[in-house]
Amino acid sequence: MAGEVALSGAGARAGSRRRRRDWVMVACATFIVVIVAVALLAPWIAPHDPNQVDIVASHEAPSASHPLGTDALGRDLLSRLIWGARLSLLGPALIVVIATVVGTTIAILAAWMGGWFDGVTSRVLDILFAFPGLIFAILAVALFGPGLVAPVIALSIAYLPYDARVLRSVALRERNLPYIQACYVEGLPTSAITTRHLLPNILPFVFVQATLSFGYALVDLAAVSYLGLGVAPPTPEWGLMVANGQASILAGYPEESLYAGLLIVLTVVSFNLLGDRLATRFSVRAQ
Amino acid sequence: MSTSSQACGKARTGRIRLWEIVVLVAVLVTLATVVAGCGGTEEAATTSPGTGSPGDTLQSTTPPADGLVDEITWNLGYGEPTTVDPLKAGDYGPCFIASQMHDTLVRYTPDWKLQPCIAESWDQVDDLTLVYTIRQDATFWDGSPVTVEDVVFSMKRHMDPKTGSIWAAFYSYVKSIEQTGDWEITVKFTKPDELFNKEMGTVGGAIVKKDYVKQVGEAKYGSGENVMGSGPYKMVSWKPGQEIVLEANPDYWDAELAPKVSRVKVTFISDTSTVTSAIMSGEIDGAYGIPQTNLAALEAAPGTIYFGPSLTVVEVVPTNGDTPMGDPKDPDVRTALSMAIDRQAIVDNVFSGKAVLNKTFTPPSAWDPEAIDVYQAAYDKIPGDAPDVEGAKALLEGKQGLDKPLVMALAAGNEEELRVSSIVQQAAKDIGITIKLKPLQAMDLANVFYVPEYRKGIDLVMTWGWLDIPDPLDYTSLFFGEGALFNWINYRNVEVEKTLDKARQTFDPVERANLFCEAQSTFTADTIVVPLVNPYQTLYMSDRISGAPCSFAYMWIPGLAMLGGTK
Amino acid sequence: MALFVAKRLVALVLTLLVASFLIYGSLYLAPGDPATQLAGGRATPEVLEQIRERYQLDEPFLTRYWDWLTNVLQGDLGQSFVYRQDVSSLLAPRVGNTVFLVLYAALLILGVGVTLGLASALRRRVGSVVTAATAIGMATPAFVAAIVLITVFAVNLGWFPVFGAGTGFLGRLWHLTLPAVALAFAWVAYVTQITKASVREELSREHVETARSRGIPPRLIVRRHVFRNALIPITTVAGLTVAGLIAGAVVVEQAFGISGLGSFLVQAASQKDFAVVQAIALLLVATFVIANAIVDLLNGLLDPRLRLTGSG
Repeated sequence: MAGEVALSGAGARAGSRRRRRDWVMVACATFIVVIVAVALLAPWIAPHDPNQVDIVASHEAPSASHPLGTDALGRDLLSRLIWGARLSLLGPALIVVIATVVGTTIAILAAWMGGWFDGVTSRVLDILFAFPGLIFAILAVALFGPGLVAPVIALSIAYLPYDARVLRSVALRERNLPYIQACYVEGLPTSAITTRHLLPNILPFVFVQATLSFGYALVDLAAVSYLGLGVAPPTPEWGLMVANGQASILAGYPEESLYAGLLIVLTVVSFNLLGDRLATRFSVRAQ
Repeated sequence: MSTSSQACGKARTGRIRLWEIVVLVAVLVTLATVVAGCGGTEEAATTSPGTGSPGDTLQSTTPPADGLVDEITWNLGYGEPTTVDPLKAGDYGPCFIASQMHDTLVRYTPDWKLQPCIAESWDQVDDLTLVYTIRQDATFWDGSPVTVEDVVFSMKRHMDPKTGSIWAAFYSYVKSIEQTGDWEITVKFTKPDELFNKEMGTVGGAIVKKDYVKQVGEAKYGSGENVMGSGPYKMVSWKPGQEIVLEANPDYWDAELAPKVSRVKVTFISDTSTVTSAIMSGEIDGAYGIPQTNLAALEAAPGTIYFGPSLTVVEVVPTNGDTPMGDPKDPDVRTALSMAIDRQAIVDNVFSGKAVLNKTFTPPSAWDPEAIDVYQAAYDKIPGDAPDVEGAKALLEGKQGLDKPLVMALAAGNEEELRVSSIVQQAAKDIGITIKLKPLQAMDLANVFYVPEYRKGIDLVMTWGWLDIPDPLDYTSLFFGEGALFNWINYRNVEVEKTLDKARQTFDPVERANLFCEAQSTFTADTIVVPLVNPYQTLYMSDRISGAPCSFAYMWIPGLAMLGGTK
Repeated sequence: MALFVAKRLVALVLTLLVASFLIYGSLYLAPGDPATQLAGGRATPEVLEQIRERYQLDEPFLTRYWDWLTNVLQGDLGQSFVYRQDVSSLLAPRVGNTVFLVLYAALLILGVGVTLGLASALRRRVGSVVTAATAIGMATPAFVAAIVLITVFAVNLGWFPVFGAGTGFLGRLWHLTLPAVALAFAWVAYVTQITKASVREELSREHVETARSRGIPPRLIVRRHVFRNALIPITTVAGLTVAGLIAGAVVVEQAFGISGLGSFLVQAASQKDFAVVQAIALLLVATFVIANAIVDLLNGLLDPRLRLTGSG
């Protein structure tokens, strides 16, 4: 835990920072809100049908009707990017939800029951650490075929250990704190202690971990689509668009790949920075 | 392992100021736009979609060169062959490789004239008898002579139903093949067959060594390094997934085709971007069938692109007779799809104008030169020059079962196929039919055509088909009749089959053309396939080499032996 | 010390066993029977029989797993259904490219990352710019970096080839530069962060303060007092980096058309050539596990505290 101390700033510095508004965090949060809104409102704000092929309008430059131009098949790039936000954000969201829920449950159970259960789960999680997420996803696709389902489940399993590990140490630490001990003394049942006292105090850390994981999940899932093992064409999805656009780069039209890639980077940066800032806040508060 | 979790949480960023992030993002975006803008837009503008047809100069040969070259790299754009056994070589790659290593009974020139090869001469004694005189000086790579026994064996292999030859259809009228002299073979027919001798210039007439095949076994011949031919190039090594290496045969019996390139490394890159990059970087010295979607970029390659006449047909072939689309008794759904497609747009936008639209099963480039007028008159009557979406929708009124999506297979990583398929998909959507695209790896896709198991779950296949020779009847034998190789929906029409049969028995070109056009009007109306375009043959050669043939005949002639160094 | 090493080795072997068990067993998770899965879902009854015989699918599961494992350890990785060839002979020509690429990237990551991290820890101005840049760098997936590099170098500059792995040492070096950069990109950012944080922390430690107040020149302080301790979190991160490099290599090989284990894995997965997928997955996972074990051992060597407590 040594690194955290240095980065979160020793004592006094943390205090002075709290008084200045953190613009980075505001910007990231704003971007995330915007991109999620865009994804949700896609059917209403996208100017065109993202799959409408208009071969005559291939590779058009930006214009009034096509603000970002068109791709090789004449499809509107802006609409494809907007609709692409849906799948590109949905996948990682699913992964994060599953990994967090299952991971948190395991973490709390392990921290609570300790003993052999803790030992066994730690070993199992250690083994799962051995599988880089992407390899796991590829293995799943080889077994169950391409699409969204197999990679999402595989990545959820691959991300479990990270969530479980971090939350386990948090849970352990919380468990030993006086207020929890006090509950014991008062004779409260374990389930009540867990749900009413432990969980709410862990939630901030769960949230932080989820935010941090989102970025990795997005990158991994986009990579699966890029490799052609995810959703099939012509579905709009950022990773797939990067792959589709690659053929056009050599013809002198890198727009599709670059725009989709840029969106991926911006989204991941926002989630990473946000998660980072939140983590700092909570670890400071915890001290 | 536990340490990595700590590490995971450690990626903290310290103090970042907002303005720094904004500046960096702005720099990124500007870079992206600048980089994008600097793209070869100039080149792209000049090669704007043109109208391919009459003005283009197509050539069947390229400037000859006679320098000696040590080694070149040649690429097979449609993926790795599964075998080079003439029996089973059915795709572009296998045929090309097989033709460099095996000689055929007769041989085509690049502009489709038949010349002697292993057969020194031939004589159509009467309608039912064909006599070949075999040359006496041809030898296999191991030095043994090519004997009449080898020739008879090679031909009869295709007739044995157990071997499952894909060329069997061209031997279907043969009654017997016998050695009738020291160097003479007589082929007797049950019915007159105008196709037969022409087909002997393709891989269907390739000569293998009988003893060698018996030695390695029929099943193993042609896979890996188990090949013995008499051609100008011999198989040195085959690393699956990597490359095939061919070496010049120094003792090739045909002095005019003595190879000038000592070694040819054959690669199997089928991904459009990768092939384009490889060509531009000089990694590939030559390739047929280069990606026509990237023609503009390829102009900057260190070599030249040539265009020639081709027998390739781009079409959608139904594979599943249980769907409304594949119903052999009701062509309306297929016809509707065909009506809704804008073929000229495909020519202009996918093939950069280097193609001709095609309205029927066999392309104009396959017409017999001696009967062009007959074919042309019939072709003009066929609809399809422009799309008719309203008419298509009208045709579909009242049809049941159209809401079930259809699955169309195509080659993965192939930009041309993806674009054509997307256009077909959109046209289908415009008339209320849903098509889902299923990209397949090169080898899987090739197997769709020849192995029934691979067709499970597929309803349509985007096909880069071809005719072997410029004779429309070559293609019809593969689609009509029970058990025909590509007749997956089991289309039967007795009239059509009889007329085509009669046409095949007719040696006179004009008479044959009339019979064919009669059948054509029926089967075109039945839309047995949805024809799209007939692309030009493309050939790329780097500045180091020249001389390869540029017409579709390249499939059957040892074009690598026609290459020479330009220095 | 010996106990530490022994514990680590046992953990390593155990992990490898379980991982191999999972990879082998995943075959049975798929729908349909294992023979069909191995045949890529497209075999005739005769071929299915052949497969059943060759892999002795009628034997009990554990026996089969044991046979498979012992075969693997002897170098027999099974047979590819698509290519009808031994998997090991299919992998052999490809391993070289992948290893070269990953090592090249690793060198870049260590060299550039540590240097940048040190520089930004020691100098304020460099520090803040680098920090912002690394935030963006870490968010850039390898395939996006690859696309940008391809766009810049293929269409415009042409300094480096954007395709293939080249031949010979120098050829490979030239061809694999852009792929290695694409691969290393995000990780350079990551390692820079870690290095900077850990060096900063060390700089603020008591013993360094003491050395400074004694008047020892800064460069000596950095080298003797700071560096070795700062290395610990860096080596810790190395394990995670290896996983990322392995996964990234798959994507980068695909983007640049490099014939390596990664691109072959992707091809085999889409062709459902399961024997190949199994073999490569096993190789990559084993590499990751062993690399992590080595890192743990290194950590133990560098930080005596870890050795004494026997845990990490």
